[in-house]
Amino acid sequence: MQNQKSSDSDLERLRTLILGSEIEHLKDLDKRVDNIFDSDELRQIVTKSISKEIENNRDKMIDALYPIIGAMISKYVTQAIKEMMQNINNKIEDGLSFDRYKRAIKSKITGVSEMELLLQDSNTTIILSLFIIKKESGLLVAKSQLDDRGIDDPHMVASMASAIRDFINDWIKSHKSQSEVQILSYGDATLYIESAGSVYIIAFLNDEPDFKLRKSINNFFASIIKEYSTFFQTFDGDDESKEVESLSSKMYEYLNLQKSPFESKKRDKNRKPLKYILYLVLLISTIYITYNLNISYMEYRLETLIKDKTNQEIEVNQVDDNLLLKGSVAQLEDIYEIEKIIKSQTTHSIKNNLIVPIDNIIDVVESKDNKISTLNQENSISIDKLNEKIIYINRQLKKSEHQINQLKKDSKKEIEIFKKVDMKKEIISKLDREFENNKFYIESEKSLDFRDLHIFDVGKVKYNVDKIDIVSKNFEEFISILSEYIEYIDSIIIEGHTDSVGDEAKNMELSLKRASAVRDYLISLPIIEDSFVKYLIEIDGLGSKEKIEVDGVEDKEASRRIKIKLKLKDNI
Amino acid sequence: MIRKKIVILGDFSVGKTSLIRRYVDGSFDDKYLSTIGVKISKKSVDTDSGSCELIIWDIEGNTPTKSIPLTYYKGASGAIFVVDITRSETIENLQGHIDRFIQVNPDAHYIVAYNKADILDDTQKDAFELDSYSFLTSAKIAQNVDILFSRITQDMMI
Repeated sequence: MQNQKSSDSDLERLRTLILGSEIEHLKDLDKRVDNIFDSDELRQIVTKSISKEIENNRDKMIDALYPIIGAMISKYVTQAIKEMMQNINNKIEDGLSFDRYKRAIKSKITGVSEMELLLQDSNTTIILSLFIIKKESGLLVAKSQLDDRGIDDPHMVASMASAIRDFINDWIKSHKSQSEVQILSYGDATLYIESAGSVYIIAFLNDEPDFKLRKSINNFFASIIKEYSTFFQTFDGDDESKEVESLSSKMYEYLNLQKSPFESKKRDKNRKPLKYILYLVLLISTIYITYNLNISYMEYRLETLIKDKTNQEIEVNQVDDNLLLKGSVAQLEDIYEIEKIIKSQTTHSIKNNLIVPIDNIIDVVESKDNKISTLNQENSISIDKLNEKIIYINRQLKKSEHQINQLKKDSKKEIEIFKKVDMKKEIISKLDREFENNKFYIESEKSLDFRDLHIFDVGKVKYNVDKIDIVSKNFEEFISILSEYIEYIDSIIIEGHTDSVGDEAKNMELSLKRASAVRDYLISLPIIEDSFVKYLIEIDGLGSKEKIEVDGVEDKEASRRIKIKLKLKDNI
Repeated sequence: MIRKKIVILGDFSVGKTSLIRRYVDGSFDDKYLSTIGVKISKKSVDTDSGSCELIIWDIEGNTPTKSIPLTYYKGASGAIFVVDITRSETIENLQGHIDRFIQVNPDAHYIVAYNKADILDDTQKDAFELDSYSFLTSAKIAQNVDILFSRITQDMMI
């Protein structure tokens, strides 16, 4: 160990002896280099050198930088505001839209760059031709055109376009603007020009390109510049070089990216209605399935909960807005418990069709509360007997119901008769009820007999005026009851009567006149005048046929009277 | 195929457009000359060095109301300067045109066409001292037009 230390020390001394001055010199050089880097001297040299390089080889520098800062080099000044607005709109759209995420995912999955997908997404504006043109000479470096939309003489067109571009740019510059022309439109044709250092690209389009399409063209152009910048700088007009071939191929591929989307977009347009219908059907199906799944899940959840809490297996079904409970439970209390559980879980109404075996109910009732048993005992009725009676009554009821139904089925006519019979009873019972305490009402005849009124003097047709009011008052009451049943009334007969004194034929005549006199008065009453009843009123003269006798002696004053009788239709 | 840009320069009305019209395979309408000051034409030329397609920029001569952008000169591999032998001022202005062109394209080739030579008789023609880069031309009788373009193309292809 000591030997090793001693050896290292010797080596260090030897190094100092041999290389001492060189080491010192190296340290000194290091220090000087550090000072140079820290000083402004070198910075100035480098800056000057870069500036000179830019001045001498401006186009080379731009070509080198274009792929990195192409967008900055592009002169958007003339369309700055338009660009900015479009940019904002697109960013909002891009940032919020589902399309952006879809494009990113699609790019990841398919391996197709977002630039290409962007081109596919752009509107129906289509690039018909792409020219790469040498900036100074206007010579066409490379071109690509859609098969059926080509330009006849691309080299001349490239030069002419270049001349036009130079002319406009010169004019713009003479007006102290730093921008360059980017869009040229004539008729249906539009030229989009994007310039780099030594070349520029012209896209011939069928319409003005939107932001997406310009972005796509610029991205493509940047990728071309990056790959071919050296070639562009040295291009001497020879279009048979391998670079031109590969460049043209790339441009052709780029152009064809838009071909299929363009065509498929047209197909999409035709497919749109069907597509929307399919979306709608899908949406409705999804909603329907979700809704039913939700219901099924709720039913299942309730059934499970009920099973857990009550140990009863029942079926829960949602019908409209109600919950229909089906099945059998052991105890009456289970039903209450189940309803309680359901109410705690939902707001649906409950339709309870649960069955509890009757024996279980009786058992429960008897075991839990003896009151019923006691009551039964007090009334000497057992539950069994009560049950039997209920069953018997139920049978009878069912029998009656069956009979009624049978009757109803027999014929409509019979049903009508049934109704009418019923109606006759109703009319009669109503009259009886309303005139129960009326001394003029004769229940057996359903008539008003004014025998006690002594309304007629001997041999007179004219009634006593001071008594006719009583007749009219009772008549009004009579009619008010019957007015509800007019359709069942055959007639209301005003009968005139005489005493038995004198010739019966004359009495007959007198009685009819009395009836007529009273009728004339009664039909002038407001209740009659405005009613259909007046057409039902008839008169009859009975002479002394129905004279009044009391203990075998005629009460002649009573015999001279008026009777008002009701005649219902025969078919009721 | 190799393509070269060539510009035709000279004063107003020296016969530049007529010369080109005599020579080219295809051309844009003359209206471009009056609107943007340039008209593009093309011509395929076979030389000893191979075929070349000339893209000919017929650039309108300066007028008091219109100045032609120098950017039109850029990238040209060659130029044909045209003067009208019947107008001495066009010959006086020749050097100015050449200087402006060389300033933009120092490495480019050029040639001079003394145009409207059809009005000269043989004696007058002989009086012209021409070097190998100067030609007496006439669009009217197609004199030396092909040679003019062939020569400049040959130079550009070297």
